This record gives sequence, structure tokens and C-alpha cells, in this order.
Amino acid sequence: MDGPRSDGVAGSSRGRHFAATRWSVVLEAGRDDSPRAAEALEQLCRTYWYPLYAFVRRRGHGPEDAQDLTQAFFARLIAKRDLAAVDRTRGRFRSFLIAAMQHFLANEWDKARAQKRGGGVRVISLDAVSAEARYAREPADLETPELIFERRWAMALLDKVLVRLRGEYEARGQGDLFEALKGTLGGGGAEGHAATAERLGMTEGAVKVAAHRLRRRYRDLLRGEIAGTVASPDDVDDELRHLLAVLGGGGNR
Amino acid sequence: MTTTRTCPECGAKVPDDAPEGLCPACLVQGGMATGYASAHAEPVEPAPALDEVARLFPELEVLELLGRGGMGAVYKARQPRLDRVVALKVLPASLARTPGFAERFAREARALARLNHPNIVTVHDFGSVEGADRLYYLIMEYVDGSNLRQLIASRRLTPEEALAIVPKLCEALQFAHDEGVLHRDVKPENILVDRRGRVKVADFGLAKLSGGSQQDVALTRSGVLMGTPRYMAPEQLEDARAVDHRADIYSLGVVFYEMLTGELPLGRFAPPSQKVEVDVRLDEVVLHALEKDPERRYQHASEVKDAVERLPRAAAPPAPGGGGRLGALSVAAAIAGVALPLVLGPVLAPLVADRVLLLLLCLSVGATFELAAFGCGLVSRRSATGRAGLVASTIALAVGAMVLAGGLLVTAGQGRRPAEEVALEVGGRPLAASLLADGDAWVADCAGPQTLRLHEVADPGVDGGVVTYRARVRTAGFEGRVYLEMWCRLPGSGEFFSRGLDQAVTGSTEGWVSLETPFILKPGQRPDLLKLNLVVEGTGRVAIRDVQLTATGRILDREPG
Repeated sequence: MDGPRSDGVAGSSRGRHFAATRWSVVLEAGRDDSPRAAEALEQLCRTYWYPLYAFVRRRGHGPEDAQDLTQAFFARLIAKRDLAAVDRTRGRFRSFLIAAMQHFLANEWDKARAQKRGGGVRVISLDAVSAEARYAREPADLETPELIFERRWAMALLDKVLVRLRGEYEARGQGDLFEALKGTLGGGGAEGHAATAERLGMTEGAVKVAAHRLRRRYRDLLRGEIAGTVASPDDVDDELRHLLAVLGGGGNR
Repeated sequence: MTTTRTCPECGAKVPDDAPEGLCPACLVQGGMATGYASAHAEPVEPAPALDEVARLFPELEVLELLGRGGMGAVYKARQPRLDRVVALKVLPASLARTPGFAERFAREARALARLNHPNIVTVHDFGSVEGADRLYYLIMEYVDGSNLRQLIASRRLTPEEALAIVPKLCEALQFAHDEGVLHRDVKPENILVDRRGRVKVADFGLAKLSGGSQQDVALTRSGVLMGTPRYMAPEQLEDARAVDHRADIYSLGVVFYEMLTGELPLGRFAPPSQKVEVDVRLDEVVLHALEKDPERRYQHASEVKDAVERLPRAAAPPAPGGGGRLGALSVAAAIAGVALPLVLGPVLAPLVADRVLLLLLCLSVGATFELAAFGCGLVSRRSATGRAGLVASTIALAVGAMVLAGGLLVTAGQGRRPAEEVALEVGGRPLAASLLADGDAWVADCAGPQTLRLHEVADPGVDGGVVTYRARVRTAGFEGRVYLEMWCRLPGSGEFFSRGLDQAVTGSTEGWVSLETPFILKPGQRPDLLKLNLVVEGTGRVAIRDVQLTATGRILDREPG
């Protein structure tokens, strides 16, 4: 399901060859014909389309318009792979996506709309109903379109990683363990290692080790997923800081 | 609608649909690593629970946990006797156990309490309480707003704004340095901007208490060292103790660079003018602050301020535009769920007799806006580069006020009371089904946050001027806030909205409260649809009556038929 080695941790501290991740594949290919790049880009779009939809909606477009718009945008992006905006956005797929969409809205949308109404090629299937249902649940406060995009992006990223992590544990028959220990990843509320040990018939020591392993695997997956959206492994920490900021990890402290 | 709870670990909001029900902020932190991993993943001590804090501070009303960092937990609290809201910072117990801490703390805290300056977060009081451990605390000014990190991250600050913020930072630093207090940890997270656009520096000197800057040692939950000391002066990296006030100037330089370009000045970095559109002379100032050798740096924060203020007005180019405008003001809206006006410089607001409103704009990356005189009432959606922005809310500039924005002078124009307000027809029954008639009013019992659509007015026949939506609102058994919102559709441009946040009603009202929210149109702008809403952010009963829509612009003759 995921691209090649998208869980490859950037071995920046070890000088290992940076495993090709999705966005870097796209960047390298540029506009050259490359099925790998096309596939990589498609996968990225599939993961991160909702933040863009929410952005478009918050900009004032209604549901049908937003749908058409987002579809048209992705179709165009994947077909043409116009990466001119990349330089300005320091190689982050996240920044690139919103910048490209803003450009699209400002310049291209009118033309695209004039050409065909609703009959465009559907490359990414956006579940219209669920998109709008999700959007309806967005808090009605003063979030700007940009902020909604950034926040939703962060959530899409985290979602992806956790789904994958849970999948790994369940595939090994360790779904219960994941459920019990997932609180250690953030937000607390975990029942405590002793209680978990008793409940699952493990020793407390084993639970501690399992928790540690879970956190480590989670971190690897998260960094890997982020690496898949930036141009160089050095950017991962910076991107994490950005995500933290938009999620409200700041404030009067 | 998603409801939110607060994360017990870090205090961030955790929405209903958070992945696996976990706190997104903590999840992101879990990914941070600089390559060191602690052998024993010992959790950082959690912030004391609210009721524990309330017990330890009986003279305070503890309201909520604002955040938690390496330097302790910060709570929002109220001092009933003084009837004011404060920030209570409780230092980590583990820190307090280091020998000699009590003396160092008292010394530092006393020095901080002497820092009484508009751009420094004031320390009101400090001390320690005996809980399960001895806990040291500070009671500080509460700043209702965001920090610079959030502002930088969520949308790019315009150069004008950066140029307006920096002198304030310089003043704060110079003042503290004059008092013999170094900050040692200047970074965007420690620079706060409140809702009125005032800049305040927080956490002066606290870095000394932990025996080093918080940047280099901060344990996260998973016991991994977090963060790199990217704001620290080179001499500080070598030996954290042997630094003087010039280290703060270096950090200021880093923040300045980051505000302008959105990036950190790492390795061989490009000067700001090569990254964003700013005057080349600005490069000199930034680079001078970033000199590796403290001897070659600016020697005083006040020198940086003078240098910035001496820059010609065109240090940041004004947004391009045609005639009829009196100047350019680029205003940005902060985020974190709150739109902030960054009104730069002294706003002589009280001078104005007429409506005093501030303009809140939501900027897309890099867009700037033209703000015309109040009389013309324009918010242009597009800058010349074609990038578009969105008006988040409108509170106009004080008529006749002068706003100094990073050296740019803006006159808001002559004041004049709108000559004539013409009432527009609004329509009978409100659209929202949940609103039920109750005499002259419409009432709804809201179980959760929602936007109640009241009326839609198609083709109001207005050209330019100010359209004002007024109503009287009342709430009962209500928790949260309520305000008016008007959407205005301009053919060819899109939909814009105006929110009456400055008048939002909080909690239950005693009787009817009059609210209004204006929308300022440029001559020639003819909306084809107006939507009038009541935004309910909370639960309880709300009632609305006497909905009015008035316009001052040219009223167009309706075409027959």
C-alpha cells in the first residue's frame, strides 16, 4: 500500500543513503515521465486530500464547488506535475500543496471550470459524502483556511501512522497490547504498567519493554511518514516543530 | 460538532476525532528525536492536577492548564480579590530538589519582579508552597494570545510586521539588560502577542535556574532529548555560563531572520533580501546581530532598535496599488483559533469618536493588503501578485488615527459619520429550523456549537458604503459565547465574512444586549447575497430579536421585474 521504503528512517546521523521516499521521488523526477513518480504523487494526494478540501471549503466555496475544485486540482497536478512552486516552498509537500492550490484558485480554476463542469477525470476518489460530513464537524471558530489546512494535515499524518502501527500489532495478534499501551504515545490516561501486566497476563517488566518498543516503532513510522513529505532528512525535525506549533503546542508557558 | 477536552500531559486541546483518541500535540512530540535516546524512558513529571493546584493556592481560582514545558507548568488562574486573571507558573519539583535552588530562585525572581515594562511579561509574585514536594511558583501577567512560533508557523509574518515587532523586543531586552537581567533563552516560543497586538517577552532569566538554557536539555515524555539549541549564541553553546547580554542579541537576530524568511539561519544562509522582498539594507542589520563573535555584534539591544527604525520606509515594500489609497498597512491575523489584529505601533484609538474597529485579516502566504481610508472602506482581496487572502473579521481602524507600522505611516482618513443609514428588508421567519417564535423574539436551545442561519438577502441593491447587521441577543443558562456573523458575497470575488467578536456575548445575559457587526464595501462593490447568522459557541438557550440590516452606500434602483 505504501510506497517503497516509506518507513525508512532517514539515517542522518549515520550517513546512510537516504532511502527514496515518496516526495523525494517526485522531486527528482521533475516533469520527466516516471511512473514511479506518478504513483508516489498519487499516494501522497490520497493521504492528504482532506486538508485541502477543508481549506477550499473554508475559503467560502460550497460543497459541490469544493469537490469539483479539489478533483480538478489533483487531476491537473498529477497529469502535469507542475512543480514550479516547489522552490519557494523549501521542498515540503505540505507547503507545496497549499501554495499550488492557492495558485490554482487564483489563476486556473476559472479556466478549468469553463472547460467542463463535473465531467473531469476522477483520479483521486474523494468520498463526497464523508468529506462534507467531516467538514461539518470542524469547529465553528475563527480558524482561517490556512490554519484548517495545517491542522488537518497534521491529523491526517498522525492518523496514517497510527492506523499503520495498529495494523502491525493486530497482524501479530497483539491488538490488545496496542490498545493497552497506546496511551503512552501521548495524552496519558494509561492504566499503568502494573495493571496492564495483570490484565494481559504478562510480567510488568515485559510490559515496560513492550511500551518502549511501541514508542520506538511509532517514532520510526512517524518520522518515516514525514520524511515522505519533505525533500531531505534534515527537514524532519523542523517539520515536527511546525506541526507542534499548529497543533497548539505553544502558548503562555 | 467536535467537542474538545484538554490533554493532561501538555494542556493542548484534544478534539473528539483525534487519532486513536490521543493528544495530537503529544503525538507529534513523540516523533522528535535528535539521535540521543535515554536508556530508561523515564517520563517527565506530569503537571500537577488542577484540583491539587487549587488546594495549594487557596487564594487563587485555578481555571485551566495552559501548557507544560521543560520549565514547568503554566495555569490560567484568577485572583478574586484583585479581580484579575493571571498566569501561574509552577516549576518542576525535580528542579527544585537541586541544592541551592531556593536561594537562586529567590534571587532570580526578585530580579524579574523588578522588570516592569510594557513589553515584558510582568511578574506579580513568587514563592513556594509545600505540597507532596516543595513547589516553587511565579504569578505572572496573563497574556491572552499566541506566541511567535504559532504566528510564524501558521502564516508568514509580513516583513512590515517583523519590522514592527523587533523594536519592541529590543526595548524589552534593553530594559532588562539595564537592570542586569539576561534572558538567555530568546526564541519565538517565549515571545507572546496578545489580542491587541502587543508584544511581550516571557520567561526572562528562568533559564538560569535550571543551570543552563532550556534549549539544550528538555526531556520529553519518552525521555528523549528534544530540540537543538538553534537560538543560542555561539559563545553560549561553548560555555553556557560565560555569556553576557550580547547572547540575547544573537538570539534576537535568529528570531528576526526567522520572522522575515520563515527559516533559521543555519550554516551558510542567504541574507534576508535574497529570500523575501525586503530592502537590502535590512540584511546589514540582521547579519550584524548574527555575528559569531560577540565583539563584532551590536553591543546593545537599543542599537538594533535604532538601526531598524532608521531604515527608510521602503524597507518593506508597500503593497502595490492604484490611486485613492492613503497608504499601505499589512495586517496579519494570528491563529490558534483566534484571529488577532497585529496593529503595529501606537494606535491612537481613543481619539476617535466614531466606530473604532480594527481590521482583522487572514492572510494567505505572503499576501499583503491595502487598507484604504475608513471612508472608502476597502479591503482588497488580491495583491498585485495575484495571491488572495480573506477577510476574517472587520474591526476598522480608528478614524483619524495614525498607525505607525514598521516605519510606514498610515493615515486612516478623515472621520465622518455615515451620512444616512438606510434600512434594508430582511425577511420574516429566520431560516434555522431550531429557532422557535417567542413573542417578538426567536429562541433556540442549543445543545452544542452551531451557526444559526437567520436570513439571506439576495441582491440588496447596495453599492459601496458600510452594511451593518444589528440585532438584540439574550442568553439563559448559557455557557460559551455568542456573536453575530455576516457573510457577504461579491460577484467575481467570492464570499467574505464579518464577525462581531469584539462584542461577543459570554455566558448568560441579564436582559437583551444589542450587537452589531459591520461590513465595509468599496465603491463599486455590489454584493449579490448577504447571509446573516448567529454563531453559537456553547450550550444553552439563545434568543434573538430586532434583526436589522442597514446600508450607507449608494442604494441602487431596482430593475423592474
